[in-house]
Amino acid sequence: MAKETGAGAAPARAVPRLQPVTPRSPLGADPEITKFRRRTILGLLVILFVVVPALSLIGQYTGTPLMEAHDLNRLGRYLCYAIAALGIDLIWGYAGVLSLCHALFFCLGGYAMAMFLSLPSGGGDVRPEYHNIPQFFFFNNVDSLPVWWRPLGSFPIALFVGLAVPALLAGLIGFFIFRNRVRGVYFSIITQALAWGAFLAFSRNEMLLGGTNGLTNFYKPLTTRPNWILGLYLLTSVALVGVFWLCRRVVRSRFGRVLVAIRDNEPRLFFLGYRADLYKALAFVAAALVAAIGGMLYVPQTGIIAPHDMRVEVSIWMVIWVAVGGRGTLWGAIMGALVAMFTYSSLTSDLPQAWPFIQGGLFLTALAYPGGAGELWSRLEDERQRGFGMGRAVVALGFVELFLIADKLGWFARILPTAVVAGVHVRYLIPFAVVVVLCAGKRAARAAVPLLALAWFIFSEAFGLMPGSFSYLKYLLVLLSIIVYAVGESGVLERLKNRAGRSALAGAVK
Amino acid sequence: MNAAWLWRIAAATGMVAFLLGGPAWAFRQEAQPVSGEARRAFEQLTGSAPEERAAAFDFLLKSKSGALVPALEAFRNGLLERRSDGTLVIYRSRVEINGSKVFPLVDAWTLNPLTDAAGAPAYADSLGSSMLKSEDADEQNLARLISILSLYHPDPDIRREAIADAANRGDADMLDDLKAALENNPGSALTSTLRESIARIELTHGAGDVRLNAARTLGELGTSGGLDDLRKVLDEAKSSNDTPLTTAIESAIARIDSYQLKVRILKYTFSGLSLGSILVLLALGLSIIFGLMRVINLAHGEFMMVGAYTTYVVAEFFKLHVPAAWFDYYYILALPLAFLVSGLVGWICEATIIRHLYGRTIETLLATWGISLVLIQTARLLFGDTTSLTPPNWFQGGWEVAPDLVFPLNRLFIIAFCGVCVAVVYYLVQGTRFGLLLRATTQDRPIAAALGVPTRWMDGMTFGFGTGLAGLAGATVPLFDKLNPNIGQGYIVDSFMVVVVGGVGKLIGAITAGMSLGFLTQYVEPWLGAIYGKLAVLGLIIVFLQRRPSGLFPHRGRAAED
Amino acid sequence: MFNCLKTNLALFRMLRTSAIVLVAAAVLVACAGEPKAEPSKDAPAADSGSTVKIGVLHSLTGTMAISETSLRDAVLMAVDEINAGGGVMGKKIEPVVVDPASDWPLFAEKAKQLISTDKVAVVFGCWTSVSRKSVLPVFESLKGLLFYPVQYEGEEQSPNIFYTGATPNQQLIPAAEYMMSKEGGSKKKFYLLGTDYVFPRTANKVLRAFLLSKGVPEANIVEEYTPFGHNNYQDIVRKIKEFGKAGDATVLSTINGDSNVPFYKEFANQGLKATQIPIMAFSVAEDELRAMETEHLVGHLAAWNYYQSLDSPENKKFVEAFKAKFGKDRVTDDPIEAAYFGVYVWKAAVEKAGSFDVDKVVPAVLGTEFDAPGGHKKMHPENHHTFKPVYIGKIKADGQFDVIWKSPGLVEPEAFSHYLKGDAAK
Repeated sequence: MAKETGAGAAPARAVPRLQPVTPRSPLGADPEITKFRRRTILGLLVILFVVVPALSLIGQYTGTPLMEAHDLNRLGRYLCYAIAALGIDLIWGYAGVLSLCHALFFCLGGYAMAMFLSLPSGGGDVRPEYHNIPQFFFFNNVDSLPVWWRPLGSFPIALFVGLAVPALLAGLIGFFIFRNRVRGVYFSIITQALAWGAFLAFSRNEMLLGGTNGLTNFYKPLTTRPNWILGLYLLTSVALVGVFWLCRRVVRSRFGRVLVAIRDNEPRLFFLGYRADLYKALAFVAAALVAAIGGMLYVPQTGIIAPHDMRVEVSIWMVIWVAVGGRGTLWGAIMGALVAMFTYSSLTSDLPQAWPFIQGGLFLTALAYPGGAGELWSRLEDERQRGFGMGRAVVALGFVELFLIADKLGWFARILPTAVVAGVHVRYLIPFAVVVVLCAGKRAARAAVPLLALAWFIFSEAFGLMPGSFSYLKYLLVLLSIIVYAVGESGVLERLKNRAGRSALAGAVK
Repeated sequence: MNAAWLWRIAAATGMVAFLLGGPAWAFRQEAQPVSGEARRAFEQLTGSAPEERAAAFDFLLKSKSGALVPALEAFRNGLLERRSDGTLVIYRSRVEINGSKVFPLVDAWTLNPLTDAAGAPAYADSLGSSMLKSEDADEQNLARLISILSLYHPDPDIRREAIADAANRGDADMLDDLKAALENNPGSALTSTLRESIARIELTHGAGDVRLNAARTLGELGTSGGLDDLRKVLDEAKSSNDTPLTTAIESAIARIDSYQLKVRILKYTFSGLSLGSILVLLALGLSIIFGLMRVINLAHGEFMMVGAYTTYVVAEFFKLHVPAAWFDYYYILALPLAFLVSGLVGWICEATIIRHLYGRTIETLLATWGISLVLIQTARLLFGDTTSLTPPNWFQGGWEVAPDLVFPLNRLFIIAFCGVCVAVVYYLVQGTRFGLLLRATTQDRPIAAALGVPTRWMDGMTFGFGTGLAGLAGATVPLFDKLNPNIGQGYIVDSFMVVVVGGVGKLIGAITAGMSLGFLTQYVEPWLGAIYGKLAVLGLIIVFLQRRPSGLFPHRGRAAED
Repeated sequence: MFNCLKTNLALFRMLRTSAIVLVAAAVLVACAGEPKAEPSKDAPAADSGSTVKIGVLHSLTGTMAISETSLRDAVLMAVDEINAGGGVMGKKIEPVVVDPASDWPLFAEKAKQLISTDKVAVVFGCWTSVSRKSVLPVFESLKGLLFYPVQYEGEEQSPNIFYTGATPNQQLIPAAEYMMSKEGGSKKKFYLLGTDYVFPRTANKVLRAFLLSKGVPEANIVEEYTPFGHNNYQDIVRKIKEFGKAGDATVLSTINGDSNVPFYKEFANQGLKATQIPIMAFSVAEDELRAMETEHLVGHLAAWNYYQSLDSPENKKFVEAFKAKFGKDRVTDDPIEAAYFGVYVWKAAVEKAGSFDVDKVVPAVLGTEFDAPGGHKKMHPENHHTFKPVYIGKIKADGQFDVIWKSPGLVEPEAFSHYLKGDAAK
């Protein structure tokens, strides 16, 4: 990397190195790769729509702790974040515009839904002693529902408001700000100020939106009854797949290409006669809509929405998900959101007080890989094309998950020894050994190692399978996989081997 | 380093020392002895017999012994102890010695520190077992006694309060004392307070011409203290159809109102100046960093926090290892250290992380956010959440510019300090070789590199310099704000606003925008309330950026396109 | 794709960063990480074997860490004491500490995890009302049990929550009455200043209704709110100064958390003293005073149900134990005491019920009488709150309180304030 010239003001060199948006033609045209991709997508869809509901239903009806309701609820909520991350990717990854008020749009959608849910017509928990309207009105000396709250009692109107308000706001901001050629950092900082202002305004009790406490006391079964949870989860999954598909259509269309052109060289596009500002404003609206959809699905599954969720920090968080997953690849955004959220969730339980260090370290690691997890995927495809497989690794992953399920059901407690070494049960050496044996083959793709480690982490956390004694071990395992990958890629091993005179192997790699 | 440089440093040091040392001179005070009779009366006051106590109160009210006030105050606050040998000991407010908070002990009459066997000053870990406690029934008497005796206290600030108190109570008995004080101290700083209090008492208790004169005096003075009295008497006058008095009072109120309006505007301006100064200090560093390296430093607030904690550590070190008399001077040491430590931490971050992200502006935003997370949590684990900085005693109190117009010294210091910093930074950037290279690199990096400017080295130095400036801001913030790991967060959005409004990378822009933002906030806030004020300012900024997308002072030339 | 040179450099960077992360991880595991209680998710039920699990749900990072960390310490101390004394019904208590990171939805998520996955018998936690509101449906639906240790706005009574902090009538009304009495300075004007969230809003609503009922004219009551984390009180203090010039005014402050530091600093800065305009605070306890320079605060007031300076052998023992465990600069205060005795109340109820089942423990808690560090107390037989004494304290120079007024006996908690009921009826 040419560091000396990489820094500085000249815009042409300031453009980040990113992958092309459209699939690289040699790979995309390769039937082998197409098949590989199709299979992966099919696998993920099966997990999303078959395995998870099945596990949950089996657990529910047999009374075994398989995929408990709260794990499903959590997964559903995180998928909402993944939807929001798609919006960020659209505007940042493709159009190169960093918006720091994405959480605001997420919350605007959420508030509309929350207003509906907290009213009696939405099943809200209201009481006669507070005039049958949400309790916080009582604390604000308001005895009857304000006029502007009333329409929200109808679901279609709430749905419409939840989409229209963020879209309108995004349209207004986008149109005026982009029209005046406010770009780059200036835009980020204006949106940041906007998010901050909105946070302050929503925190005011005079706004009659619940102040700092936000809106709560919804229909209780939404977050507690397993059927509701499963239903909402499936709805979210469908929405995620739908939004993903739509975004894909958009980024592969002519519109998407213009967005990428804006990202890569806006002045040139401008001189070619495009109204870049309108394109950007439209993309901004689209991103806001996507976020609002996520927010509307998030609220019923969370049971509360507060101004706390629209802080600037949350918006930065969302950007970080995309950075972790790899900007400019849609599925990277989803993966990034899930990895980051599950890490956050498990770290705050495992290492209370010390987790910000790991979290901060993770961001920095993510930044060292400019392509994020998306980069890993294209590496995998490269290797795949060169004939390296990952079949055994997938089998190994399946085995590990099955092992953990059996373990959680307590099957091994009777058969296997319960000896504990350094806080970890000896029985966990079994899957570890199986993975090593299965993946020790020379033809396994290197990029599969960290990808599968991440998949293992997400699945085990999402299904609630991660053994409690793995508190810090799991992070070390994931880190180890990344290091193994990095060492392999750096060519150090090859050089060592070459030095030892084993040139045959080196030849095979080339 | 040549001779000119030495001179410059010496001049700057002298200036800082003058700024810090000046107030210290002004507030020295001497204890004066307490007469034997007063001591005996005081002993009776702490006794149990109600009649004796009443007699002691009567006696002391007339005794004019201002030197009794510390003992009385301590008695009322439960900080006075009668030792078994009969000596009275005052527990002074706590200081931190060897890591724990202890009370310095002084003799109640001489105010000299008690010493232990080795001759070192004595301290108490906690309040003693034989603390004297005042009777609740005496609370009012004691308060009155303290405020009356405070008229004769050596400290002018306490005298001033006592004078105002007398008027607040409408204490006609004290009229003679006040008048005597006015005659004895012509032209002193207390004159206007004395005149106000006398006029207020005369207004409420006097009759005829005395009242008329009092009303006129109050109008002349323009201080707000008399407003309530005037209004009360005005109602009275209206109901009794006393026309001359009514007109006199009405004109006095009008005069006061117009004077108070001026005072208020000046006060808001002053507040704006002090808020603006902090913002300028922060924004200077941000602006330089962004201008040179296109790095959005979201951790800037945390570098400020590092500076604040450096000051805290220096203060704690002084508490542990330096005689208490020298404690205040920790601040002089803390300022350069805050700069150096923050700068060093910044330089390390630049060398290890940010260096790899040049040219990826948005990624630097994320990376610096990660850094800020780590810095906050490190500070939390090292210091916890409940720390507080003991400001040097120099900054206590205020400077009365005109009646009713007091500028707190800590804010005055911040303004002056910001002025010095701005001057130094301006000189560094515009008048030194370092500044020349810096400007060259900012304007056109490749050409500068081609001409032999070590741009890498410049980046590291500049980042360190910018974060060091944040550290300096951090050293001043705890003087009036809390000190905890999150303090940086409260300032970061504002300082970004300043940078953007001022025009990225422009010093003059950061200064102008910081000051305007400070003024704007302070003028708008009293009028709209804290939150809507902030929202209004935000809205104004957004509208402003619509008109001038590149800020007040946009870059011209090649660097503009970014 | 990258060319060869770029790849190697990029990878070198990756390696280096990974190494940094690893070192960070190692450092944290070595020193910062709390030793996690042994396999937490492996045991199938709360009271299996010889231990019983309890959850501790207090934020250890984020904005609320300043207050909540001490509560975690108090709970852990009670647990250690109970374990040293043989545990509960012969079982040792095993605390599961999680960090909800001042993030309201995360509170609910952690509560679910504690109840469903860790199968804890009871949870001690929460500080802010919004966090309690966030976890309330979780506890009700999953049949969990929460002890909530902080004074709050009332108007709530969940069958699955016990409130060991004060209700408005156990803190606000006595304080206002005191300020109007002769000892309190017969104050006639009231400046109600708070942070803009539900507790101050409700508290001020109760206070206003009370003051109006006592004949204080509307014009003598000013209500004002500032946002969370507000740090510029110049203007507000100026207004207070104006408001209280005549010396018959008081500030009733519900300012929360770290905003208190700049507020009191500004108050002293502008030359206001407790003798002229006393501040009666409802959210400033000993722990908050640790972060302030107390010499400016001497004489200001607070209303609580417990002070570290309470003079009783039990309290002395408690304070000494707390200091011995967590450092001699640490202090105890009302929420800390409430968090601490909550564990003992739960223990007593479990032993009375002879079971860890929430269904059996809840009725056993109702009406329990117990000795807390702050004296004898009693759980309400019906409304899940606690009978507590009320104390008015005056801030001393050492950051402790001088108790200057004390309620004649225990004050009955009113979950639903009758000052608000009158309002609701109209």
